[in-house]
Amino acid sequence: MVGNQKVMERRKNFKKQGLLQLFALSGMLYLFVFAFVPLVGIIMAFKNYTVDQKIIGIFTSEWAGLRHFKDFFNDINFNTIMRNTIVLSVLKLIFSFPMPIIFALMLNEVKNQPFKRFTQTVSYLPHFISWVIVAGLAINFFSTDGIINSLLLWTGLVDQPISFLTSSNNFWPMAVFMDVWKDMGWWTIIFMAAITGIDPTLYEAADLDGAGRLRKMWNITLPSIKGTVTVVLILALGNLFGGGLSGSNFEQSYLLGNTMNFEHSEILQTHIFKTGMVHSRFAYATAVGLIQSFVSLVLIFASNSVSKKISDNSLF
Amino acid sequence: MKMMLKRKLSVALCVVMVFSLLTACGKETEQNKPENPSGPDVTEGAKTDDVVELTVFIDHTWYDTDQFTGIIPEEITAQTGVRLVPTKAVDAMQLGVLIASNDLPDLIYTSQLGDRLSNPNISYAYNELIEQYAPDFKPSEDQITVAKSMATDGNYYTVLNASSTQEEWRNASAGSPTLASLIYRKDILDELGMEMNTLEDYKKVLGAVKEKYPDMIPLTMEVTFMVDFFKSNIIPGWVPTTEGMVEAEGNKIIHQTSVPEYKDFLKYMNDLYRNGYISPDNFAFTDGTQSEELCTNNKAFSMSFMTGDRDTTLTRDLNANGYEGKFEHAMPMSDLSYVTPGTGWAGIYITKKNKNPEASIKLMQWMFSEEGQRITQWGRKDIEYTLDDKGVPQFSEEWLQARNDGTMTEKYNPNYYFGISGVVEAIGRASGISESANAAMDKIRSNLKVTLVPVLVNPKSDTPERIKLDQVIETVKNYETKIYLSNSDEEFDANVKELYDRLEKLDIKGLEEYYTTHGAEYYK
Repeated sequence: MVGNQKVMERRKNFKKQGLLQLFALSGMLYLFVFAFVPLVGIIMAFKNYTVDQKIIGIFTSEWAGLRHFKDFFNDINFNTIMRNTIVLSVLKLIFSFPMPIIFALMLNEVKNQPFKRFTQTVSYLPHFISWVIVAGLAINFFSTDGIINSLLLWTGLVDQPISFLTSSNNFWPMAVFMDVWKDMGWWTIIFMAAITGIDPTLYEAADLDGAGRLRKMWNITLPSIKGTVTVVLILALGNLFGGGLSGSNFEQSYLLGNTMNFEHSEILQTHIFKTGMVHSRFAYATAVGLIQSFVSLVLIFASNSVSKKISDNSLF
Repeated sequence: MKMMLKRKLSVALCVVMVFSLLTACGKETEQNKPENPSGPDVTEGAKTDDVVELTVFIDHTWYDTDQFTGIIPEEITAQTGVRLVPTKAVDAMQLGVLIASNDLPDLIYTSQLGDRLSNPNISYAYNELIEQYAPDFKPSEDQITVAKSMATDGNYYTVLNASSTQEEWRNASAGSPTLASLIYRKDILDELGMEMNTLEDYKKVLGAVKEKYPDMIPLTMEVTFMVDFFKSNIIPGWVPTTEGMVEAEGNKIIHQTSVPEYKDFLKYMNDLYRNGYISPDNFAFTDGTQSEELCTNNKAFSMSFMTGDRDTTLTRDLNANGYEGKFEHAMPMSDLSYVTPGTGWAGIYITKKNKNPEASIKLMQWMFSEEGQRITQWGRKDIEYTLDDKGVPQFSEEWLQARNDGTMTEKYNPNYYFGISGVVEAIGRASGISESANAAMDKIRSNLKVTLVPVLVNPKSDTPERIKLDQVIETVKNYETKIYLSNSDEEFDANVKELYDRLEKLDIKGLEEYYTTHGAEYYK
């Protein structure tokens, strides 16, 4: 009797929330179709699948065991690809992750509201420009006869143009710089929102205690947004090999990579793209992609559990 | 009331969202359908007024047209009863995805993935269709051998176009295969009063240009042909293919890097860079227009490109931009034979999704016929062209005008060269173009070598040899640039050594052995 009542109540609640449930359902359906169904394709990583076997071949082709994984580990470019992927990703994490936090803290201290709004708008606008456009702009700005080099030569700061885009050594700094430029403002919004939620009485109390700006930042603002910072860090670590917060590794390496900087621009994702899409080695590309996904999964679980233990903040 | 309206709107929005999600999952989405559908019969495979409509996927992003309109397409339909509905590839990867998803059109026109398409699950075998519907269609022995080399079941699934034999080229009255050529500013060379007969002469000219015109780039390289002109003139027997395999003495097939003169070529390119005659930015160019724009904006003295009439159009655009000057084709700068693969280039595959294989094979028969080749390339006889005593087409004023003012595709659209031979194409392109362009092509043709075997024995996709070869191709591409851009002799030597060390690790000798062993079957 009590059970029936509960079911009735649930139904009633569900009916009341019908519209909202429909929204949730469409989101779940989207995830199911585009995120879960394609997971079946992972099987390709262990099969001798070729494109001429069509889609059914994913299931009917013969098993290949770990051959594709071995092929990747034995690839002549394995070391270069792994080094580039790890270094570029870590560099982005080191520079791109703290920048929005620092910027949010700085913006929070700006008292002139119109200037604050203007700065915030200008800083997040690049987020909406696609990487294709950014790469085009970068080529125009940073080529040896581009605006930046012309300016440097004109001011006499350099005698010879700097090969920003055509030198292997400059690829990583350029990639990190562009990543920060494009997405710092966007992530600042998240931290600004967290800062806005801080109880103002804490600042008032600190004022009474004679705390300065830096002290308030350190002792009130930062600890108060710790939860948000942790969640964003876990997300960034989960997508570490994809390029962290912005997920821009592939776009940058694909669009700005060339035969002159391949030693620093060739990464896991461009390797997957070339072998999979250009040479149609779908099975091999799936295997390499699976390695990346596995590492990401480990990172996200590890960072989540470490965070849970250290700070009591976690994603799940 | 307002609440109700809001609620209804929200429900409608939800339904639309879910519906659009489901439609996106549909097997045949709207965007997968061919462009320019001209009626329901396109998808139903029926005939419209006795005209068969066939969809064709053109696997070339650079293709000049994505419309089947203009005088020549209309003539093709009038002659064959077939109207083509083309879809041009948006990128080089699209075909692989189409094959995997089995979302195939009636016909595929491509120069890649031949071994994947030469498969009974995907395409109809030409020999079977010919036997059934077009017994008079007789591709040459070479064409059949080439096409069979891509399959594993003894059938052939395409006939490649643009192939011509050594003898056909020897007897040709004009033109040459599309090979590397150098275009330069004739007015500047005249002003300098220098000769440009050898590569050493050329280097001196570039030095003089750099000195006299410091704002000008002495040499820009078009992305497709890049260094081909220099390889053709320095490396004996070099074949312009991605694989880079060349025929050596004793019926051996070796990699270009195993030819001793390959290092001379690298040194030459490095000299050009270290003297400031080429810009490193050139290696980051992504399309050919970047080099052309440098030429037409008076910023480049010369451009490595291909044979043809581009000197005329560059001069036209240079003058239109307000600069005086004239581009011409340079002659080859050595006595080495230019080599061209006689295997042909691209082919039409008749897919298993084709709704009218009979009309398709008959269309291909017509395309390969003399009449078909001439119409698709030269237009209608006695209207667009007349033949002179040597068999070279003399084009009408309207045709030449369209060629010069850039309206050729819009008006005539001679882009459906699915069945042309190399010679027919070359003769047509040679007619009515500049003297220097013709002189360069005559010289190339007179000393041309046609090779078949290195291309015939290219390893098939997914084999260990192919995987190795792809890595060799990638390594050579990357390291060549690194070597060209070395800043000192020490750096140059170190980079060259690194390239050869890596090639050794990739077992380049084993790959050469594979080619030589498999090539021996054809040399018999």
